[in-house]
Amino acid sequence: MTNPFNILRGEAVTETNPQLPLEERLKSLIHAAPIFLFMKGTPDAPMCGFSANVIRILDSFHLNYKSFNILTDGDIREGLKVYSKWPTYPQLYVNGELIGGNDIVVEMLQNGELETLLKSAQ
Amino acid sequence: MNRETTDFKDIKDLIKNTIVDAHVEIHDMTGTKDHLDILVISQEFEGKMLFKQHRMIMDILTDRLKTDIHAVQLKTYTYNQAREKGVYHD
Repeated sequence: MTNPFNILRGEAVTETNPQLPLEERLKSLIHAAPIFLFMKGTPDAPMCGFSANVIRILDSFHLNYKSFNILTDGDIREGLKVYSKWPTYPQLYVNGELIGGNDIVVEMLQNGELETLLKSAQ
Repeated sequence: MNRETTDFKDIKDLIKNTIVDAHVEIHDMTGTKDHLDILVISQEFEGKMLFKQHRMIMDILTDRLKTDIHAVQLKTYTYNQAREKGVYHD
């Protein structure tokens, strides 16, 4: 993807070591960037309204973040739900910690906590 | 109006079984009964971080989210917060 104006935004990643045990794969994705989003689709082409909304919010802060498209990998998709005990997507992680899904991100945007949190992650 | 009180009674009961003082409202967002807008009001949310509040509900709904519910939009408030927001009237 060309980015002539160097606009900071999300970058979809692929796994570097998909042969590792599932828990290791999940941990390495969660820690792949200070701000990491598990979503349906990619930042350029979200496949779900809730994922699209979180992308819009993250992009509004003009920060670097990375994402993983859970629709491309059934093991990650089901495994993360169990690992994080969070049954839905998207899931936003900051500094390796689960923040929540779309509803929490929206609420934190409105009360100003999201900006503080995201800036602390850089 | 009456639809709401009968629809999704099983899910409301599931939440109320764990959070006994809960006031629960559920709306079908898409007409397909699998994208649900869920409002839960309870004093048990008092002093808990929003993430913890949502986790309480997610824990209750985990099994249903594996089967018939595809996505939920969740709002959690204490009774005081709900009155302030105008979403609950005594």
